[in-house]
Amino acid sequence: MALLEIRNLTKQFGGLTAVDHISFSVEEGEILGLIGPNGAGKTTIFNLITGIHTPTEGEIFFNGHRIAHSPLGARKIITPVWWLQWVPVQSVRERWDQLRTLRPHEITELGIARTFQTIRLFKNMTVLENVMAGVHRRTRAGVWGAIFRPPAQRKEEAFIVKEAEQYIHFMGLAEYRDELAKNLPYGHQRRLEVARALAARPRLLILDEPAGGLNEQETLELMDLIRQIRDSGITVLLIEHDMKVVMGICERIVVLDYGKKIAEGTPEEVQRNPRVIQAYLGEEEM
Amino acid sequence: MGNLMERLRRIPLAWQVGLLALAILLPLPLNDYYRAVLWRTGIYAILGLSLNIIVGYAGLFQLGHAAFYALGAYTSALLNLHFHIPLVLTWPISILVAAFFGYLISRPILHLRGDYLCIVTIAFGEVVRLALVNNIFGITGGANGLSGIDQTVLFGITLRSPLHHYYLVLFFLVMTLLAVRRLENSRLGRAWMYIREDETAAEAMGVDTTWAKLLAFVLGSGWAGLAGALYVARIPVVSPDLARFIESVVMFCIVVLGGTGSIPGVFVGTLGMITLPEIFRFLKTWRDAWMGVAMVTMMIARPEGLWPSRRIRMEIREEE
Repeated sequence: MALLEIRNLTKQFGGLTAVDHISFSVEEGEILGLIGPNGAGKTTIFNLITGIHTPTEGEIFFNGHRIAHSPLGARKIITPVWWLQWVPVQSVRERWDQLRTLRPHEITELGIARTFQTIRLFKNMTVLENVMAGVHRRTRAGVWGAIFRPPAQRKEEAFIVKEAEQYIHFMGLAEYRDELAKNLPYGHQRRLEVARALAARPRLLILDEPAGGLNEQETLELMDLIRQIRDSGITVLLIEHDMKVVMGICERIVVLDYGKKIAEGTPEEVQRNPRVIQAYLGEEEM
Repeated sequence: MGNLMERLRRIPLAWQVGLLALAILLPLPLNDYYRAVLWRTGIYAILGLSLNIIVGYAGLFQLGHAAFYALGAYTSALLNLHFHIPLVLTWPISILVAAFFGYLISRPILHLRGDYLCIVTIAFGEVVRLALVNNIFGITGGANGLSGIDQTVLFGITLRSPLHHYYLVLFFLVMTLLAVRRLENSRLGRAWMYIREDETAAEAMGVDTTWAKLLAFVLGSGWAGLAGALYVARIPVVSPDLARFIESVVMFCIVVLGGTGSIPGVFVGTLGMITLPEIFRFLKTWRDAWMGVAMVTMMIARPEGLWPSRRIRMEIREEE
């Protein structure tokens, strides 16, 4: 079974169809590239997967869970009936679970972590604190733990720091541990975003243009890191404009144009596909 | 001066013990009037610290905080008047009632942003005040409020003098301070800061933003309820004036004046908004005018507050 399965996904913003009946799936352990010209709907798909948007039509399955769907515009129905979740009748609660769409943090909880196209770090917090955000979903302390600091909570806090440091080290940011995120050079900010996402220990890592704005050297290092991440057992789904990156590390590629899927296959197949060449690679010397 | 501050920062324990000793010894040479002023300062510092959780840490606007203060006070007063429960035992109930209302009001409006949230909280503050004025359920005593509340008896000692009440408030203030500081440096405190910095990114990293914001509201409201109960412990009369809009504004100013999200800032703010106006009472109405001038000047010259938290100063200065 595929790790992530997108079925007939559609998203309309007013009259604009950003994503138009798209289906594809991501297999466990692969690196899948999502490419297409600007405005093809790539980032919208990522936002649909991570629960920031709700689909107009279609469904997304992750690891057997339905993480996005649209029963009659779920959000509109749900706002007035959120109290249904507390009705102590099994069938009512099951109905509630079918109605509602998962919230972004619940999707992260299931094992999907992402980075953003426009870097969205917690700018005025340190590198360590940023990566600690990733460990948040794997820990539990609440008010009680915060105020009374029982031993379990102290241990958890130490665990959070240790975990975060591990990923800071992995992404080669150890020397910046206590630096504010906004003071890092651009390339390192990109890395920090990946470190933060990895700290959530996802099964699926979603990267939105990870090489955007990086120089040659940084890009090569990043490609190497992405391969290492995959080898450690994490499935990678990425959007990228840099063809060297896409052709270099992706095992499979899905090509979008104007919200529609126009091709899918290995890098070689995609490069030979006439529709892709016409829509996307036409002007380049591929 | 700067050098001294630097040195004080390096020995935080001595600094804290010194301040605590000062707080304990300060009222001794003063007369009862100034002791009462200090008591008021303590109450508002607790209110400021509680509002700081909502406004400072989680970055949510709350301009109806006085409503929870009043709810705490009325709960304590009503339980004492009708059921003759000793005041001390009503305190936890006051906290719970205020926290419950905090939950009730914030749950449906959490998805609102900035200014919209602000309007709803103002409206809630007014609803509470008008409900109290209109003698809701016939128990709140209308515009005159309630009187005839018992004196506080703590461990067999009746608290009579302003000095007793000052120490009572000081005790709770220190407790509040410890709790708030621990909250700030915890998983929950970080979750609030992630939300304040970038809510979308926080959600994407798996922070349950509804959970974190609700807790900010519930904790802040409950703590305001405690302040209300402490008010009743000294003043045996409660009236709807406690929930006036201007009270909420003063609390908001305490947080903003000193520096949003900063614990020392709350104390500076309380000093500026409560203690100094009280001491300069002889200036009469000029007092309010100077207050206004000072506020405007400060917002232009130093928008991050008088003693800002390191982080917030950067957030504000960045936008310029």
